[in-house]
Amino acid sequence: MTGSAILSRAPGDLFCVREDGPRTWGDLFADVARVRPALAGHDAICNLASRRYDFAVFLLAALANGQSTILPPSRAEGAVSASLAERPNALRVDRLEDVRSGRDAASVPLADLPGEVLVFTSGSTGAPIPHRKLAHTLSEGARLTSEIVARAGLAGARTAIVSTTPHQHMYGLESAIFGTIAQGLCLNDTNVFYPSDLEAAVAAICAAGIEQVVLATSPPHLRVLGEAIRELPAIRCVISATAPLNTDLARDVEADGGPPVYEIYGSTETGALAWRQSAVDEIWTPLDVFSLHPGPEGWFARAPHLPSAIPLGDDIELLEDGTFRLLGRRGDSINIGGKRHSLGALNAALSGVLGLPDGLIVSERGEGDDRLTLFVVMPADGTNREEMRRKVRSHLATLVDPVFLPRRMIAVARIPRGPTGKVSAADAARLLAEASGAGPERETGQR
Amino acid sequence: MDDMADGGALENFRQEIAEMIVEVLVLEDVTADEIEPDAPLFGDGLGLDSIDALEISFAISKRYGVKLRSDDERNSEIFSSLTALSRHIQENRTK
Repeated sequence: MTGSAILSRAPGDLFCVREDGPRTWGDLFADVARVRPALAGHDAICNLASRRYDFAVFLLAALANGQSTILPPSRAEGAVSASLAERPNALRVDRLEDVRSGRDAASVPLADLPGEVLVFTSGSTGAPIPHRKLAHTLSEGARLTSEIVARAGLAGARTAIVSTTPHQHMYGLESAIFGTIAQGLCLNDTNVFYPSDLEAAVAAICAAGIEQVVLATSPPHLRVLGEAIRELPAIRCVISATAPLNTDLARDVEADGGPPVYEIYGSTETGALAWRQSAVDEIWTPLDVFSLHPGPEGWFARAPHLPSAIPLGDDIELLEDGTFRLLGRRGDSINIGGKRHSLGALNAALSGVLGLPDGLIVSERGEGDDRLTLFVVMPADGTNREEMRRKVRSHLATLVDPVFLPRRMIAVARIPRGPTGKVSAADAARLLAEASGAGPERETGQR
Repeated sequence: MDDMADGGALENFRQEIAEMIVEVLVLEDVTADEIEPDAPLFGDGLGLDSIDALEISFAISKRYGVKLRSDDERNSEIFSSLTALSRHIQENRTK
């Protein structure tokens, strides 16, 4: 299966829309050949490129060289160095122009890509966890993106993909990068974040002669981008992933001739697994290669492109025709801003705050994002609440993604711990109920 | 930094922006006057790929017509503190 990971396209075909001029497939292969010798000999390549074209070149060069590519969970220095703990000599790459051309530019075709990609996610003990992916695994996941695009009536080569998810993240890697190099969509060089970024990206794509755009995004971005999408008729299809999408939001985007909104279900471990059109479907349809099986500890997924059976983070109801209904998340996993983390790990991180006698983070399921509340027992040394809030936030910020910093802090006399030190779900719920019964906490006169 | 003659006006506007941040981010346990004017707005190293920045940008484009873009090199300066953000909005507002 490794032979078919990358498309073979005419050298003159448009590959990427970029500010300083378009890049063709010929440019891509020439740049990969030029960069390969410069990367060779390094233990691993930490690919921090923020521009998608540069990222794709470094990625393909390392894959072709048979090297490991390391993708940290964020570009923050702490996250990068933690991801490189086992490979401190990895070469960090960012901009293509900073890499000197190899003299003996390799001209080996890219049919075979023996390298691996290690996608790191924030782990349950604080250390990031690597997820090993091969080129053909990522190509298979990107097939779902490609099928959705076809379902929306769009032709891959005449359609550009714009994404709000960084390409170092599994979904961004699959949809924006492998959707391009393996499935033939046209790449957009920049990551889109603000509505004006989206407007600029679509204008650049149309100026390059591509008239159809698919937007790969996540629920929090979609909420903010909705208005811009309505004013950009070139956006013909929206794909949302990484967190459950509010169906009202999907309907709003689709209303009055807006583009169809498809939702992808998956995880870093499985890649894209299933899809639905959220405004009209409750039921999920898996990619044809997947099969779902019940196990003693919950459901798991199998597919030929995955190395083993992979447990799902959710409970499902499997229907006779192989489609399924999502019932809810399992265990202590929390999801905010499209990122997952273990609540237990977050509390473990909290216990490391110096000068905090005791504390507990409790999660509430919200529509879309979960909501975190931090309960603290204040020390008797006169530390005020604002100081404590800063202390906790700055400690957690070194260990977890900032989206997992609790928004609400409430001082309590004690944390209701049982004999083993654990707080039962019932006691945690009681803490939350008391907190909301008292109304939002306001600091009065302690400052 | 304090070269603005009309410091009082900026201070009032800063208060308005602080209230907007508290409202937009649903900071239930922070009041607007608890946000220190010159302290970093986003904890330690919270970068622009944060949903908070997105929510704030959405609100300031709605209320003041100031649109932010990722490729703006001033972004880290704009978000460096409440004062800097308020100043940027005041200088670029169209509403």
